Amino acid sequence: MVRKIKSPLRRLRQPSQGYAGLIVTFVICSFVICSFATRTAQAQSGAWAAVMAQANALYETGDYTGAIETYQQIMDGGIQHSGVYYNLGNAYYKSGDLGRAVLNYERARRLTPRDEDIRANLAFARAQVADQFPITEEGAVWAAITGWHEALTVNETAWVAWALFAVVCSLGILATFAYRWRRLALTGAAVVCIVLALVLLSLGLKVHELNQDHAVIVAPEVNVYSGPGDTYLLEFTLHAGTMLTVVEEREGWVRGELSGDFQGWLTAEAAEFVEE
Amino acid sequence: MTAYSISYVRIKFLCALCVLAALLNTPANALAQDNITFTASVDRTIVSTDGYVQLTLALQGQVNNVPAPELPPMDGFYVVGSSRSQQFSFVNGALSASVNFVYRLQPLAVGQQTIGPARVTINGQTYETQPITIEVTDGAAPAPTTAPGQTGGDAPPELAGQAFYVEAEVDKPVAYLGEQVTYTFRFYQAQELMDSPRYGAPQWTGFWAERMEPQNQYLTSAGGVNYRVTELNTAIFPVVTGEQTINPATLEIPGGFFQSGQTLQTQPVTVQVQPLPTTGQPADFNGAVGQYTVRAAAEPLETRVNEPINLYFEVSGTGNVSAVPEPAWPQVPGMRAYDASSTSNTTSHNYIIGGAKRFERLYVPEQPGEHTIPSFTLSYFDPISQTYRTVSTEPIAVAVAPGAAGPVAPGGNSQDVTLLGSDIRHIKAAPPELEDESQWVIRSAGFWAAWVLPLLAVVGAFVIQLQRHRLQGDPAYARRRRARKQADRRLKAARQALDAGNSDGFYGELTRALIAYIADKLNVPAAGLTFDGLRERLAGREIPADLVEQVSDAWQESEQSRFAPVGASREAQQALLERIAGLIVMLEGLKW
Repeated sequence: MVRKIKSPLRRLRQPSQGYAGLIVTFVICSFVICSFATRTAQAQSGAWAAVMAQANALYETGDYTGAIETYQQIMDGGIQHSGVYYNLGNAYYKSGDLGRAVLNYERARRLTPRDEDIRANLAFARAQVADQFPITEEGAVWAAITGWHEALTVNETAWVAWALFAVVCSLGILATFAYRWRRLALTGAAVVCIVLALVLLSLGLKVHELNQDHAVIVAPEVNVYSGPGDTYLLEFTLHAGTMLTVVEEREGWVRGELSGDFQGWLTAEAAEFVEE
Repeated sequence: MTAYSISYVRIKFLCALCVLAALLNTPANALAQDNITFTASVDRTIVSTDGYVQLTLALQGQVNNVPAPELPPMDGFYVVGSSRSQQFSFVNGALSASVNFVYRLQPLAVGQQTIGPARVTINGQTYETQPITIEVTDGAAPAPTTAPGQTGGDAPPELAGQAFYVEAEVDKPVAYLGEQVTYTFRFYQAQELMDSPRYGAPQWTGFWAERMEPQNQYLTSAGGVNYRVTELNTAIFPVVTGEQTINPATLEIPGGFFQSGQTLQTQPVTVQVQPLPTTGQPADFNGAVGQYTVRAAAEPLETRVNEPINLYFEVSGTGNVSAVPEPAWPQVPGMRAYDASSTSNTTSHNYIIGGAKRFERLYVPEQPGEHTIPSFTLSYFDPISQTYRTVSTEPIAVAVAPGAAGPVAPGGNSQDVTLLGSDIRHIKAAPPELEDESQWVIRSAGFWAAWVLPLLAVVGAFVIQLQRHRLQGDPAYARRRRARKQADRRLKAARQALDAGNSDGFYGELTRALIAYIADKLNVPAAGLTFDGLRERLAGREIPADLVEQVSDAWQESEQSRFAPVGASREAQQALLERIAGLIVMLEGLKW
């Protein structure tokens, strides 16, 4: 009698241990794959660091032109690094080129959005831009949500999304095997699914935003016309450091949009694209 | 002193605990009192009259209750202090005590002095120490160990016969307003204290007070007793004229283990405060009393319009420097002045308060050119010469160049001005490795492959769980799934029986391997399965007829060989085994 009662219990208990092992194996495998996926080719990264140090030395001696050229070599070598963009922005700022300073600070900010120095110098340079636009006030809750959205890079958001997905799947496995936790696990999975959806939305918005063509005015002053040519009506003028969204390009002219419904055509040489 | 007192208290406390523990642990006091030794020793045999001798009475033995020994009458010595330390230990199962009584003796007369035998009585038996002879030489009169600032040495007459005594005095009974008076508090002690006493300063009504370090300590004697004197000095500056009484200062001596606490009080002290003389008082006199020098400086000496300069005015010397009022700041044409601030730094040297006070004011030049900052003056009253004096600084020339265009008006205090030089933050240092940060993982195949992994895990888990459910809920399915494994096990057993030459066992296992396999697949009881019944059931399935024939042949052969009178050859048995194994493999390939 006793044995009859015991044996089903034993049968229930034994397999669940085996499946716990399975979950652990799955998690370990995931991490191994993650680490391999993130490990990209890092050849010559030390050599580029030496070039950056050399450029920094030029900057320290006050040779901003030399520093700009040297930093530019790193970009030409296919390395986009926020620290280099930031230093390049500084070099442009010190040599009096406010437009290119803003441009490179903006590039740096896109790579590491949470860097305090970059934000500070970008704000500092922007404050000196001649064209100022009214800043729209945002609510505290909305600011908190968009703050998260803006603080993370595309890669970070992507990995957060993956981690959330892995959590959902783990909870799914838990729900499959552990009857006792099924309800809790499924509720948890549903909640994480909602967060995952928001993160994926953020990722999509971010990719969309960054795929738009943003440009910064680098010429000291540029005229904006109603059409692609200086024979059109002169609408307004813009100054170095102002950022705009390019919606159309035509034979040496670009059509830019600014916040506050300002838009018009300007010569392509006067602006530089943020995305290289 | 404090550290000594604490350890002393701790030792006493521990001793008390030890005694208590010893009393509780031993059933009776009447223990064997073997090997009790009682000895006396001194730390020196030659001492001067201004020194001390430490007498130690050591008692050792198997005793658990040690009374204080009886000291002999000592004409030549005065007992200044005593202490007791003890240690209990178990030796050969018996409690053994080692107790030291330490006395501090002060010699009273020059010459050969004898410390007589000390006695102790333990359970009716008296033990005595040997006498000790000490040679006392004539020492110098007790001299202060550190030079006291003012007086010292002279002991007050009230001191005689007291163990502790406090007194207070001022160095000058008559003083000018703002002049330093030194209030001295002295604590005389003839005994060591277990804990630091607590000093309660008087209420300095009518004075501005500043404690001066360090404490002064020296020795003095009165009535043939040596006292240690601790002297605290406080600089007080009268702020009100007339007769000012300083209330008593107190000293609280904490109670100890064998001693009750007490609070000592000084007598009140009176200072007659005179007003400053009116004759010869300069018009710009502002109340500074002491001896001072002044200095002024400007920084930088060369500047540009709208770039501020700092003007400093420093007063230093002896006196209550922190009370020196703000000077009359000069008006500088062509410069705007902002709020002034001051810092002061007070020190005492030989118990005279002094120091420096620095006033600072920000000036912003509004016009270029050569500007001259006029001299500052300070008038003070010197209480030593009892005259007024006036000191002044040199004028300072400041060159102001035309400034850069643009409004850079300071907000009014120095913090806003430092923000004038606001600049971008400095460049970042090169990291050890410079990696491209622009690659998006969402563009790499590996990232999306990583998404498939959890998904596969979930699907796998679901499939496994489905299988488990079916095995548990469907016995027919479970039997079908297990049939092959069971058959393999039986075939293995048959093979072992064959190797062992157990013919009966071989056929039994072999037959059962085949029949139980088919019964499992059909979900029928193997025991009741007959040869004909099997054929019937197999015929109902989609099984090729020749396979059914082969199965029944093999079964028949196995059954017949099992009960045949003459055993088949080993080769034939082996062949049958392979045949049946092959049949099971073929049957497994079918759809059941």
